[in-house]
Amino acid sequence: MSLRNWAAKNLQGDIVIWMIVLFISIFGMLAVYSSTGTLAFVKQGGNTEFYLLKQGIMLILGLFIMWLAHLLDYKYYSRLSQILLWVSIPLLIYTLLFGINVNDARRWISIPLIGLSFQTSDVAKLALIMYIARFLSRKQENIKDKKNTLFPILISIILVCGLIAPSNLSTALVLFATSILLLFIGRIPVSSILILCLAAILLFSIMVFAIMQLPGQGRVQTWKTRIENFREKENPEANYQAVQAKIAIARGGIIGAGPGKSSQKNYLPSPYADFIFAIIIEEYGLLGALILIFLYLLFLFRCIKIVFKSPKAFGALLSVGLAFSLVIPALLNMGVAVNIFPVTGLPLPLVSMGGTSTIFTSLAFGIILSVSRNIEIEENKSIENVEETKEKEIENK
Amino acid sequence: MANVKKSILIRIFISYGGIVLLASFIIWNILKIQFAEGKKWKSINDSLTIKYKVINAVRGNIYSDNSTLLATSVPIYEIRLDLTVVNSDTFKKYKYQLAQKLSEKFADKPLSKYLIELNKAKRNNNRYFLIKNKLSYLDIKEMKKWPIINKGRFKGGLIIEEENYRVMPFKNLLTRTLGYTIDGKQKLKVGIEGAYNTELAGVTGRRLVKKTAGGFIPINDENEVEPTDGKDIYTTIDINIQDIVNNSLLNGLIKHKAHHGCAILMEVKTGEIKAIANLTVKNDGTYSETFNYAIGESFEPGSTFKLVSALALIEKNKIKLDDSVLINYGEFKILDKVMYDAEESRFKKQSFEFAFEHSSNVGISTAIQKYFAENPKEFIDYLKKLNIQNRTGIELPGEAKPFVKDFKSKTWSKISLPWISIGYEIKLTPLQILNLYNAVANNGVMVKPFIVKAIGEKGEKIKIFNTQIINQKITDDETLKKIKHLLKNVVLTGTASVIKNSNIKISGKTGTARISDGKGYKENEYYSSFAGFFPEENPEYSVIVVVNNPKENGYYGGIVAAPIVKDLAEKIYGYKINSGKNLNDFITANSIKTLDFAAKKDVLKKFNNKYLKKKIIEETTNADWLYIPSDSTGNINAKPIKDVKNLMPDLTGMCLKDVLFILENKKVKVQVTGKGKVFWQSIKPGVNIGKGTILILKMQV
Repeated sequence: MSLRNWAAKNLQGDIVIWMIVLFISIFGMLAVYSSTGTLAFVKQGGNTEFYLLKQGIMLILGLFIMWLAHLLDYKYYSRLSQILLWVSIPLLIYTLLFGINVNDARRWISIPLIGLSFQTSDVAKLALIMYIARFLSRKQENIKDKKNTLFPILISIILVCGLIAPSNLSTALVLFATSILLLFIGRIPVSSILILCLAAILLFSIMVFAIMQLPGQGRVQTWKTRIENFREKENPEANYQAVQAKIAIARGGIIGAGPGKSSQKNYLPSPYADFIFAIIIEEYGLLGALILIFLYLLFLFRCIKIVFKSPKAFGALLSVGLAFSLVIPALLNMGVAVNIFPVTGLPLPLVSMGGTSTIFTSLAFGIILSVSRNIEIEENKSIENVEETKEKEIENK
Repeated sequence: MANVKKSILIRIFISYGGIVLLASFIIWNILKIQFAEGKKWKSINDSLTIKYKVINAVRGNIYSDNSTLLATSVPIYEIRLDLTVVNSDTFKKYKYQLAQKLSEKFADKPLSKYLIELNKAKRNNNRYFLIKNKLSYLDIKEMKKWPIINKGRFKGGLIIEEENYRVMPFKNLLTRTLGYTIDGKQKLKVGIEGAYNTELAGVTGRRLVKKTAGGFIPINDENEVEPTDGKDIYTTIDINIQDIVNNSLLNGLIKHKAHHGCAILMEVKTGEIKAIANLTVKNDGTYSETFNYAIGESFEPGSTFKLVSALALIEKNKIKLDDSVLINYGEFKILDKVMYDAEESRFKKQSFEFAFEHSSNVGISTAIQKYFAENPKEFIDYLKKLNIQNRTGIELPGEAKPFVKDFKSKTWSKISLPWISIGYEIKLTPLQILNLYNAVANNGVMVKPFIVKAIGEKGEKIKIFNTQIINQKITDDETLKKIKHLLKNVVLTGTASVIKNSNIKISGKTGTARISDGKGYKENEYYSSFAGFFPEENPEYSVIVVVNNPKENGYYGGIVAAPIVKDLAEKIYGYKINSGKNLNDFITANSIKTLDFAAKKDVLKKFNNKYLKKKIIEETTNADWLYIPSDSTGNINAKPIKDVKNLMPDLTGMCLKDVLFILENKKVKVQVTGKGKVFWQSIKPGVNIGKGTILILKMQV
């Protein structure tokens, strides 16, 4: 009882969302602990608890940030999104030019003094979604005005996605898709959206062409091979990862091989990130997969529920936008594991081992909870108002 | 406003529907993989073989005392085919041509035999069919153009495996002492390779690889365990002296048609072994190293052991050099066994000195019998004081343990003492005998013989081994003086007088022992030996030569072994004077001849002369690599090799290893003809080069 009281006092907002976050995190801890075995032997001299501890610390830090974020009234995020977007664009440019180079991709920058490095695309992603929510909510009155509504938002989307694409194409594409979805939800006419897509395709072609002129051709080769490998489904050589993932899924069966019993984790590259869903199925079976999918869908549903209650468009679009931006990559990650998409490198939010990206994911959850919390407060107020009026009415009678 | 919210809600539900659809599709795919295709994927699980591939560390090198390479590793290759990859039409079309090529190049099997083997392998779906092993890089290059093989990994099933192969640049020299190791069921460790296997081998790395149609392919970007290269071993061997000792021994063995022989040369003061040669006759009459007799074969030494008897008699004041001993015309019955001298003697009695110098068995044994028969323990204890019962402790594996009969043992008889005194009923290795003579030469200081001076890592010596003293003083100076006098006279007037006119004065003792096969002594089979040191006045080297079973031109130690010692001693001094080893700060062309081409920092290390150092630094600014042609005048003509990005450097005079090092980052394709050093390059120095440039090099020795 006391726990419930404590939770009710401190964890405001939708308690169901809080529980979902907790369950997904636990799933992540288990899967990460199991799948980092090889990595622990290579990098940490066999200290298998290292990554469990690291993931645990990150999740606790994430929960703390979520808690902080949900305390702040969501109205402030509107202004914040604008600042964040203007900060993240120069950051993306800086990353593209001077970031830490891993596998021909510059995605990370390191914060001076602290030494912590993070992917600038994580910040930009969050900023863009929030910014779109702000923009759409403000322009609802004249949503069909191309000049004042459509073009400014188009420029922001294309700029951010375009800057992420050279180093991290999949993140850029998913962000673009989520943005489009948000525009659609925000009542932007479908015809305008189609124009936007055509423009994006054109720009992307130009970009690929430009990158191919660079020495080493940037990451274009990687993209090519990944897509070619995906198309050659029957060639075990080209499609090694997919084959290994399918073996893991087949081995899992309905109830799974049991925690830590995955054998494919030794054969799948980065089983703790890109292919963690395959490992989850191998260890926890179809049942585990269904629970995880259900949790994500439930989360999305609870976020939509906020829209019903939300008196303001910004709150609604913010919570829905962020929810989609979390659930879409999650489903894509799962889709890669079951080989319906080519290998992308998208993480499964809160489940995949991820350092600082966990922080930004948590921030997104926190903002959604902030919306939900404030709506609850307003609801209570209005109920009180209603009751007060009723009481007054009774008194009057 | 309500309409707006409704419209947004409808759109959200459409999107949510899309997401649910995607989720269902994922679940559908999981079900499909698990149930419809489940069996297929699970069976792949069994057939996909994934294993840790061992990545061999580069085995360390073995160097001589002046860092000349004695043993190193080079890559060799084998070609295999995964015949399941080759499609049947291609196979049918080209198998004949491939068999023909194989038969032509290797000329070991007829074309038809190759064809049969290929057909059989194809029928059996052999995925790892061995085409040929022990191939050089050039072989591989040639064979890659052959039919089927030229189709590569994906269409021809080509698998090329690389392995390191041990090479000794000096071929037959020192083979057995350098040794080898065999890993497997029968582990075998021979010589320095065996003794320092742990250091030389390094740590093998591991890499997770998956089996695919074309062989094993790494799974991750990095190795799971990085290999650590082996450490280098720096020996005490002087390769020039080794060459001389080897040749002198070889000539001696050929002259006397001996079965085998060995020679060890040791530096008196330090115990460093400078040369160790072991030669055995082969069926065709030539000699090669097949067994390390020098340390592995113990035998009854015979007369060289009389040194110990003389030491005991003189040190214990039992006898003076001019005391007379019984010779009895070279034949004397001690108890029930007759002792003979090598030849009949005309003397009934002679001085002890005479008996030693002429190696009279009767003379020495009767003297020992006279003074120690009462208390043989005293004599045996004396042997133990000289450390005779122990191995020398040389690092090489397989040193035989000396056999010293204890007077308490069951086999001890009344005649044991006199027979031991002349080197029978006792067994020692040549090295163990040499160590006694070395102690005498070294004014009584007995040092431990050793052959490994240092262990190195990346050119730095990380562990250095120094001389170890076994016994500070084996005997007093008075005794030493008398013993040295005796050993000197063996050469001047005694059994080794054949070599008395040697340019280098030699002291020592001859030995001619009969060979026992364990049951009895064989007729006319002898060990002829000579142990001693030179130069006699101030000995620098001690030496032992043992020749087993000489069949022609005599068999006495003085006739067979002593001349070999004279030959090698004279040549060694000839070499030392010529090589300018004594001319400290003066650099002759000769002494840097081996440099030819080297990194500047290595070159500078070779020079002690500050003026020369400065000159080189001034003349070669900006050059990291130098080429030093040595001309007849002895002048150094350092030629800087500028390593400028995108410009072809001058490669003349470089060996392939250096060429590849320099061109490593330039992405130039190198084609090589010939062996040795570059004398012609297709692209002139200073010309711009880019990615994919093809450079042809002609090499000659």
